[in-house]
Amino acid sequence: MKDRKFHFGDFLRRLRIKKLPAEVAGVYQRGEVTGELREYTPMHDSLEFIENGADMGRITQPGVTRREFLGKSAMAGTAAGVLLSGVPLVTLINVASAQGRVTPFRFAVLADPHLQITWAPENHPTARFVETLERAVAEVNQLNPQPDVVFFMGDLAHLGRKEEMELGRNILSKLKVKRILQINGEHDWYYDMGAAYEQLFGKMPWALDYNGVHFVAVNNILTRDYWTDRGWTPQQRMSEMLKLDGKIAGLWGIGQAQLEWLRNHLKTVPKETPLVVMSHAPLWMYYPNWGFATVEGISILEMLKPFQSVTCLHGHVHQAVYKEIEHIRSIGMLSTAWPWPYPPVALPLEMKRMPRSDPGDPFDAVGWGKGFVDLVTRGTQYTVYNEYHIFGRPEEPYPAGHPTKRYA
Amino acid sequence: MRNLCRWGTAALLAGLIVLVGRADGFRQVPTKEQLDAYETERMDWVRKGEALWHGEPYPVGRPDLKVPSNGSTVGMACAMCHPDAADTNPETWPKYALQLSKVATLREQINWCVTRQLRAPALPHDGEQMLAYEAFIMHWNKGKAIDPGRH
Repeated sequence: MKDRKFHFGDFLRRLRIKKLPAEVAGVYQRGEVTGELREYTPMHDSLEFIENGADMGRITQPGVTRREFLGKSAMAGTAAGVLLSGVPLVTLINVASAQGRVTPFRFAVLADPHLQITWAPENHPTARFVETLERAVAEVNQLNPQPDVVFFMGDLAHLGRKEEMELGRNILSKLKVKRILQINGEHDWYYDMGAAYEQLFGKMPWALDYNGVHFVAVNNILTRDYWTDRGWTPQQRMSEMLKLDGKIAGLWGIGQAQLEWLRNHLKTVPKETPLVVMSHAPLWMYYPNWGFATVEGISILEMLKPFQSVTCLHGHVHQAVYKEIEHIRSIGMLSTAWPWPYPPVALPLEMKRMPRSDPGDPFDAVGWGKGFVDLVTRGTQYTVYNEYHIFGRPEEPYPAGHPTKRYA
Repeated sequence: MRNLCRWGTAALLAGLIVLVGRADGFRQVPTKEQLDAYETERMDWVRKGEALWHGEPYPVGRPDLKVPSNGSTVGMACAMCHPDAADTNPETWPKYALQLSKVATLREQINWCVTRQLRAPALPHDGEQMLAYEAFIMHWNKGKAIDPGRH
């Protein structure tokens, strides 16, 4: 960590602003008083992005750079509702004041370790998947400063067995960070329909507030009953679900009950609260043939639209994926086990492919993620920044300045 | 006499044509029933390949198409990296294979994956499993232009 204190005046000088509106400034002043912001290098990173002129912001109005925008909007003071080059100032001011309670924080992301203990008679774990998860845990433990929270994006087990999840829990317990926000994947679920998972890691879905950010986690891998009519055993049901390219289970989603729960729950959350939605599969239609989608995705996105700052995190895709739908951002996470190829569809314009993996290197194209939730880089919104950390490769899958970039 | 010769020659030729057959000879155009039978047989191998690809004993609902185990000693299967045979690019072989450090065929590459990733014994190139793998890979890559050497 850089030994550099955060000074609010210094920050203003960098932005060439004499004074920020109290509502905006308050966020930083509070941080300075409590000393919390000093602990966060992301603040410095963010400042450097601004200093380097890298545009990580959403404000891309022609002729107005983000720095100018911040400056002009600050000079406009509390003139809420006044439009500047089509950008409503009210966004900056209202969001900032309403989000004053947010404390920026760091996180690390682990996803899809697919720990496998093969069926009888061998009954032994697949060593490489254990090794890669242990390596990810060790690398997260080496982070300095430590993340405040670890997100786990599902598929801890591969065959859905309790032994696999217990093995995974033992490995995850070696994390120095004890606050883990965990969700399930289809591999954790379909052997016993979630019984072992929910016993070990708690019920799905869940929602909580953390540092002023509201987290909602949904179980979006629920599919129709394809096993009863066929008279399948739990192992057969699981075997079909193991196939990413399986043709029987069909599309999945969160189901009617969770949809109602989500609708009612989101009504209780203030629209200014930054929202992070965690789901195993992406909520947008990426490639339904491989379950890179959620049936109720459109309804869910409609529910999320009124919120001013929304980030969706998902696993399942085992690759770097980034998507924006209006102001809703969606970030896909790397697996620690193996990379999936990109599906044969046009990819979102705003994303860049990971380099193709070297099949001879089990540490290539797999890894973990780390990031932070902060205000500065977007100027108007609290946003979630994720940086991919690939074990074996030095290149950047995303250019510097991209909202989703790899940690170098 | 000359006429007789002429007619005789013509009759001989006609007889030969009747005996030998048409110009395309014994290669008769297959009937629709025959084509369907060929396709059914091929698709059975594609399905066997699909089961093998996923490390399963037989395709869903077709226990008659039982395949041998993929032999993986670490519980891996081809489909874990290649769903729908993605990234197999059979149309690009033979080419210089980085993993093998030589110009290799698709079968050699399959065997590299089988031995290195699945940790299974190498397959004979003319065996049932290799045929099933090839049938499955080719089926999913049908219609691609042959482009040997492309990386």
